[in-house]
Amino acid sequence: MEATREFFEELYAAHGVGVKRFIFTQARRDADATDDIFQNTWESVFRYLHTLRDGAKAKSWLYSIAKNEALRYFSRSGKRGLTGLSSLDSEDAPEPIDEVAGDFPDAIADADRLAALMGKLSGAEQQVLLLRYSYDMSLSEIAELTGANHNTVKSVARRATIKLRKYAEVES
Amino acid sequence: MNDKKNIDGEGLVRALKELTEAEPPKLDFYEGFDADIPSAGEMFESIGKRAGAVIEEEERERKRFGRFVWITSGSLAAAIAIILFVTTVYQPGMFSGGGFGNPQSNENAEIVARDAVPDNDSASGLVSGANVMPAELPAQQSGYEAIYDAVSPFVNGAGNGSELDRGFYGEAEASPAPDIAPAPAEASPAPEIAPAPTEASPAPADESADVGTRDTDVITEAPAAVQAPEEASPAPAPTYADEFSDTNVQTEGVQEADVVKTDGRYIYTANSEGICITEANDGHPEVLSEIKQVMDQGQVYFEMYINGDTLTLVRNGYSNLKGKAYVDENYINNGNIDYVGEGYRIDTSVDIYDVSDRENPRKVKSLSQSGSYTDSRMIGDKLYLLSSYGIYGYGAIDEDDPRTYVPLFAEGSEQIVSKPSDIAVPPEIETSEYMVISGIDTSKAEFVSHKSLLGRTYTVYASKKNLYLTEDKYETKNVRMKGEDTYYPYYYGFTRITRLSLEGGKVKAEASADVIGLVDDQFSMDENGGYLRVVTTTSDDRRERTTGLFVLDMDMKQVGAVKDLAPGEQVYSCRYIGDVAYFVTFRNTDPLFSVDLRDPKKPKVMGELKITDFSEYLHPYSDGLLFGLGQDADEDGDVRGLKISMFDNSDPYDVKEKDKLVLQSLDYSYAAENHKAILVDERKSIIAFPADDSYVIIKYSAKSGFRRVMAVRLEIGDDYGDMYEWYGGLRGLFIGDVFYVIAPDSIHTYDMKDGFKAIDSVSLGSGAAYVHSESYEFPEWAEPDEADISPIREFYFEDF
Repeated sequence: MEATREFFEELYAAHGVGVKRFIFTQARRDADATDDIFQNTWESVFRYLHTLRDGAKAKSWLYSIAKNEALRYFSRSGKRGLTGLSSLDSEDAPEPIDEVAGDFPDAIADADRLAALMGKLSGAEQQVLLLRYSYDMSLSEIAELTGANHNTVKSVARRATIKLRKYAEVES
Repeated sequence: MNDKKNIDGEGLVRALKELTEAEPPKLDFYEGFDADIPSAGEMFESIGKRAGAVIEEEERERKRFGRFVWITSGSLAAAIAIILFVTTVYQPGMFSGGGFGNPQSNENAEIVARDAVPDNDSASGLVSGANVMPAELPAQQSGYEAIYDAVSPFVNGAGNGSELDRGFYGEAEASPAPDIAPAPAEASPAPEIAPAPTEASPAPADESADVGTRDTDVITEAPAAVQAPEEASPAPAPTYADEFSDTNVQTEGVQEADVVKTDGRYIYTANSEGICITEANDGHPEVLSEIKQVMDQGQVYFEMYINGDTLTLVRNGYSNLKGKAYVDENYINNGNIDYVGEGYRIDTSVDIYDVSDRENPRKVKSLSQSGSYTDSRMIGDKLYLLSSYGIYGYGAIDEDDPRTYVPLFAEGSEQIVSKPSDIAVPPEIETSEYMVISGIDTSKAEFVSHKSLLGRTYTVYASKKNLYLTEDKYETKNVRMKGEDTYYPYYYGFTRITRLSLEGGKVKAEASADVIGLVDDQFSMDENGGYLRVVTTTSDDRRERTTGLFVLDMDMKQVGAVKDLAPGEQVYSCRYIGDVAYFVTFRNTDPLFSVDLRDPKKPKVMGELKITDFSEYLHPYSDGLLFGLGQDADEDGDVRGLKISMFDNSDPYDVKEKDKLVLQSLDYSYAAENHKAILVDERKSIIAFPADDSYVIIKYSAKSGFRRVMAVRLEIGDDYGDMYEWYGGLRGLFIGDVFYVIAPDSIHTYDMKDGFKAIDSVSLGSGAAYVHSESYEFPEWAEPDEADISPIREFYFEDF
């Protein structure tokens, strides 16, 4: 790709807010960290734009830069991007399974009702679900980003989906 | 690892994506998200235009100032402001013809196959303490004095600096501009691994000449005296009769700050309400005094040091609270920095208290420096404080006023502005962020010196004489494989290491160099006998990652290395014991490497213990025993739970995992990421650390291995905001025969002479946000029969 001003601005115009929102998701809703990482991200984009070979991959390339900048930001400062990471609830057995199988009640598939249900989850649970399902980050990536143990992230994700299902069932 | 999404969850995924993109936000999670961003043109201008201006000037100024780019007209301010906002490596042809960053400049990078990575021999020298902003004219125009220290003999064989390369914080006028050509890569030598000695022959006679000699002498390792019972202090410190455990620091004699401290008689704790000073009282703790924080929410106090009767608190700065009423009495003459102009500034402050009367702590003075808190160390009574100060934002800079873009300091009511000689700038400006390092004499509550480097710092390691800062960097070089025609950009990570000398509070930038690969944490580095040893794992887009160990001299010039170890794996922990380095890599299996460092020019792998679990923290327990805390894993690399191990390293050529305890129902210990949270003490044969929602205490004996003693389970109320920070604040310590478990809201004591029976508890602060604590014992565990004892003993918890 030819790294031109137009291309830079095109990318920025198309993805600027989305990238910022992605960073916000990783940054514990810390507005200042978000701004810092946002700035760092576009500086890196500027530096490395000429290495982007395939325009079709631009968006994922962008997001991976944003993710790496967030990772660097947090690993350096010792702060972690996961809000309120907590231990397993005592009722849950610590099974090492990957994902939750089974049907999701319709309530979850409806965005507005899902929004209300999500509000019942803790900050950490919401964050893990968003990074995992909205941004397709793997559990290992989330663990790496937040500094939490891989299993802990897994259990938070699992607990969150169980809770969501429970709340949705209660509703219907 | 299995990350596939369940197909029934597709509806969830779609709905979540819709919610994420909703504008205005429909999710509580996005409350507070500000979708406002500068326009594309503005963003480009702020990054790109300045770079363009710099490029034009560089052509003119190159001859005069060498590699540095400068503007001769205008003030120092303008020059610095421009330097600050340049974020890209200069590339010829940038901004001409509409393109930028055209990667044709590195035609000379003909590289052989997998050795596309530049070798590490391009270490460069550094001029001691020099001001590297060749801003003579602009500086004088602003009334500043540009001070150039004499060229230090440390400049590596460079004479006038002609060989100076990346990683150089140095004096521009000494160097004519070298061409931007990468150092030719050398083929990396085959990894040298001492062959595993056969069981039958203890004598080294069979080994060939070019592998590590196995002496029949036992390799002496430094005794595991990592936890010094007392901090080194020039002032006579009150000494208390009882033996006690101090903060688990990396380097003996170099203190590290923490949220909990003890001097053997008093316990000092920090939580979201402030600081408590508690008298230990042989297990019946009594809070004597509190220092309350003034902010109405969020943690103000980060961590602290106690040194005799001087309590040093590191905290958030108050500079952003201007105008808030409750700050006034604390604000004036309080070591707060008087920023000019608009914009949000972060700073870090230090409160120095005289606590000779523990019931009435008296603040001596506050000092502040720009930037958010990164780390600190204390040697004797000299505090070295590091913060990172980024200059971002649009319109926050006044080009005529350096106070808007250089690090500022305050000492009591005195305001200090960085001079050009206090700042060092690398040849490629890639960030507008400073690492600010100051030396503070805590006995006098004053700054001794400060130095700021323009660059980011990721890891801080301190020996008694030097501070080493590492910066993760990435670069794209154009390489082509031998025999091919096309060049391609090759993106890889490397580490810039900068050494600063520390002496009596004086901080001086001495040398820096680049090493291929990235470091894991502070334990990846160790200084010994005039050499810095560092372990890195490569990170590039073309081949499998590998691990290497590099030995650098004090000029940061590489003298020896062993490379290409553990392909496909990543370093998880590292510890140096005298002249042997131990490190653990992991992806599926977990080799524990031991490397012989007796000859700095020829580090050699002595052994590689292959086990499935991995350690995230290594700790010398005693002579011949190395402790590891980490995760148990199966053959596929899936983790199964927390584990602790004791390795027998009496023979570093043949390290064995002697004992192992898997805590299967426990997932995670904060100690894996913060070594200060773990207590390992041979004197009491005790290992203690937080794990999930408990604090776990384990006893160890070489004869019977690990014995679970107790787990204190702590519950927090739902009201408490950040459980992660709360669990991160759990600590344990002992004074005499009493064990103290310290949570942010309370202290609980146990009798070590009577099976850890609970003695007492005390609340710290109001205790309002927290519920209660309860403790219980592990299930009974019988001593195994002699017949059951096998070389590796594994004990699995049942439900606990």
